[in-house]
Amino acid sequence: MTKNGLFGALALTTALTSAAGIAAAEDTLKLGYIGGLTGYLAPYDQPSLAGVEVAVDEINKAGGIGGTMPIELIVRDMRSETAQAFVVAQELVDEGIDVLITPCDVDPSIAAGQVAQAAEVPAVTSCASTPTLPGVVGDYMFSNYPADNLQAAVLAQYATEQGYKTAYVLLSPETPYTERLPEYFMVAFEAMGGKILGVTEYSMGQQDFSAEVTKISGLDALPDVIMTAAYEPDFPAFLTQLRNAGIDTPVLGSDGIDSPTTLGLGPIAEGVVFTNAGYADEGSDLAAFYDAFETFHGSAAESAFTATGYDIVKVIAQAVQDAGSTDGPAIRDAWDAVKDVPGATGTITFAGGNRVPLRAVALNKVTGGELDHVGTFVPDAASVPGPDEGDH
Amino acid sequence: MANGAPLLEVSDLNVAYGAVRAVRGVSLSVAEGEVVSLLGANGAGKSSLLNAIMRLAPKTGGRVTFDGRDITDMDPERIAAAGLTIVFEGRRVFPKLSVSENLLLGALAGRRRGANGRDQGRIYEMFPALADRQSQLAGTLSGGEQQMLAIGRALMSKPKMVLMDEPSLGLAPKIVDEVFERIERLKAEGMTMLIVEQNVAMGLSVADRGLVLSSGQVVQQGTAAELAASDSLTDAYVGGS
Amino acid sequence: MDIFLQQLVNGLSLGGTYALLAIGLAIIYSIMGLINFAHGDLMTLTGYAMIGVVALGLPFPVAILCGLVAATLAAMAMERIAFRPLRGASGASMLLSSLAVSTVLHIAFQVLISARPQALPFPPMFSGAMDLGFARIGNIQAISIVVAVLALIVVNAILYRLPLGIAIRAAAQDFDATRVMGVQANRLISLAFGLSGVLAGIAGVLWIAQRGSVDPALGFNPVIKAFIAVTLGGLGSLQGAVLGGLFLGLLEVFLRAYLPEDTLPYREAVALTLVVFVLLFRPQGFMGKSEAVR
Repeated sequence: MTKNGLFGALALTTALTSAAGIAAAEDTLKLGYIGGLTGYLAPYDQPSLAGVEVAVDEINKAGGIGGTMPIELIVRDMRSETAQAFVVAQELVDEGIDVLITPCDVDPSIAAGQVAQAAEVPAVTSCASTPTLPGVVGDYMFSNYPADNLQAAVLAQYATEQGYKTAYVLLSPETPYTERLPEYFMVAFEAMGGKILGVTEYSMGQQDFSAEVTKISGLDALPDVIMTAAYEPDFPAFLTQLRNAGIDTPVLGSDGIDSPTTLGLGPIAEGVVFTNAGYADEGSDLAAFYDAFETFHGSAAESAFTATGYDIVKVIAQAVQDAGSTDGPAIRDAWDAVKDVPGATGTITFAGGNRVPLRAVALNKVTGGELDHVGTFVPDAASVPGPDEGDH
Repeated sequence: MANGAPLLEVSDLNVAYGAVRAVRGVSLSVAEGEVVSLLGANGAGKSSLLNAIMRLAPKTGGRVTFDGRDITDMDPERIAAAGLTIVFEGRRVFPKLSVSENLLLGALAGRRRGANGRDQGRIYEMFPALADRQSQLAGTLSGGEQQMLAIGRALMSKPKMVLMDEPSLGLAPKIVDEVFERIERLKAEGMTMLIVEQNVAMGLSVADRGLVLSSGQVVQQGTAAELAASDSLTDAYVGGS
Repeated sequence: MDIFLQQLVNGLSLGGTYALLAIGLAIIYSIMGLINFAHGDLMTLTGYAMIGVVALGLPFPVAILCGLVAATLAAMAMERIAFRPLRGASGASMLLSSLAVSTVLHIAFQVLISARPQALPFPPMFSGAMDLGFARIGNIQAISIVVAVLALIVVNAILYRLPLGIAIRAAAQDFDATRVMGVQANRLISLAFGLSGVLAGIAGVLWIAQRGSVDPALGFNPVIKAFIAVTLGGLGSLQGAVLGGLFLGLLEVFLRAYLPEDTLPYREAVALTLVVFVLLFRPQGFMGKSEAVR
């Protein structure tokens, strides 16, 4: 129902705005979007899609890419199921899309990316951040978001600068994101002289974290900091139960908790520090984007995932313009060489990055129910763990 | 002999379970204060008839009135509230409820007639064996005690009429005598009853009148004395008519 | 030792919440042979109702009360709309109907509210921990256990003292005979759904207090756990549901606490394997299934 009803209608609206382009297919860029608009990815893919829509609208209002080629956006909900991502990717490729945007998680992105790879359609994940993803799928797969090892390095650097000597890590082996990002953190933190007191595993959706919290409170000495890449609903549950148990150790998280839910936790979330793709300082490009977002959607952007969604379309538009055609191999080659594309979160460069973007990571701190900008960092290459480091 | 107005009137009642017609066009009436026995072989449709009166079996036609009201399509609980109750074949006491809880529930249907679930003394006086077992689970009682409880539970609602389905089934002869002694006592108190009984002698011993059912139809009726003297009665039990 | 005690409290707290859910499932199953998979969505509804009331600026206890009322009314409405027309139908038909109700509610939550989790912060009394000397007990764990025990005592009193409660137990044994006792079937089933709804609501409050947020799928995981608890306890047995819930809660917490880290990924598998073992040796569950007549 959701696919053809609600979100089908959404796709239709967008298609209508570029109805002129449908008649002359060569003059239109058919952009496929697959996201978990329902299910566990919704907190990320919904804002991401909303950002994509802002960029498509902005470009089409200016006549399209290069002023001549409007973008037709075709949206499919994969209900946060990997198998469904494969199915709808096939549908979209059959419909003749030129570029595909895949969901905010690595497994469905691999499934959808492989379909695109086989059809020589360039694909990009909206916000899956596993650095090995493009390599696993092939030379038509790009990533967009600051990679896990980059985020981990920024977190480790911050922890070290705060004088934290010991850390405890909570990870789930169920997804590369929830497993690998903490593992990169452990590598980077130990390399900077920190000590990992312990690691425990959780199941996504387990909700009851009392056993894990009791393990932490039972340590001989509490750690200086607790790090996890858990996201909703696990992160709020873990944090709530940790604080409820009277443990006020600082907690570091990653972009998965860049969501109003985290701020909505109230005093419990106070002091949580996490990474994301950008912080909207006054007068910044990101602040300008958030204004444009509110004008277009009529409601404020909920997280930086709107901005990274916007960024993808800007990068795609640049690559298509450079390629001068909608031909898959041409777009792919042009994409691989783009430099300093102005996005909402700063400039984005793919040249020399093996289809993983070089971009800044912002650190945010929950302060009084608002996000506070700790800083925006591009970590020095030496402190970033290699994509294969720390894997067991 | 009772000769009041008909309390229960069944006319042209049909019961079918799918294609199987268990009761075919049965009509009968029971006057207030009267005790009527329904006789007939196993499978003659006696239990189906009682269950259909209570609307616990699928009626496919006919009409039932009780105490001047049409109860044909009334829910069982409303029929019970109107004063007509049933003592089921096989007793069907609530096995995991205590004796006293069983009796307490029995009173619910009779609230409008002043029945009170805590007022169980009358039943224990009538069935002293139950008095010693008030908090025992009904499922742990002997068959005879369960039958006493089933009758007691029905009486808790102060009914105007009781349908009694095979009260002697599966009981030792000595216990059967005991049960029928209580039924005699109820009759003496003026209780209207329609009793299904396979044991012809027993069934007729407490009845004013009797009806014989065969293959779902009434094949014979008369006073208890007439039927007891009839030769053709045995035919009904071997399936003839 | 104190760590063990703390984990024991954790297990009892989780198990108590499972027990509250399981007893609601068992009441409905025992009366009408229905496994109500929409039971967990009542927890979700409780959460959304509380968020709404909190957003209106009303005090938190009012939010809890409104959450419970919402769950109770929704349970009764569910029965009236989705299950009453199917009364007497096969268990499979009713099971499918309950899955349909659950799906409709999911989609309604997604479309009308949000597919994204909504935060629901609880007042400070739910956070923090008490130091009892021999162990530190989290307030929420203590509250969960106390509330679960109180709720079970009240349910017990209803089922064993009130005539309509006794009638619910009777209906689980022989529905037709219960009707002949003059108990209105509709009223009885409606009451049973109401009772299961308020229990789901209480479980929902305790669950969300631990979780901090509400999303459309909130109830799915717990209802599966409650179903396992009911099966473990013996389908339809009310005492069994409580035992099954406590057993499952303790099992999950102790496995997570004491399995070596290397084997932690297998803990769910180990937990379910133990459940299968229990059922191999006691297919009827802890308390048998004799209370269920159909």
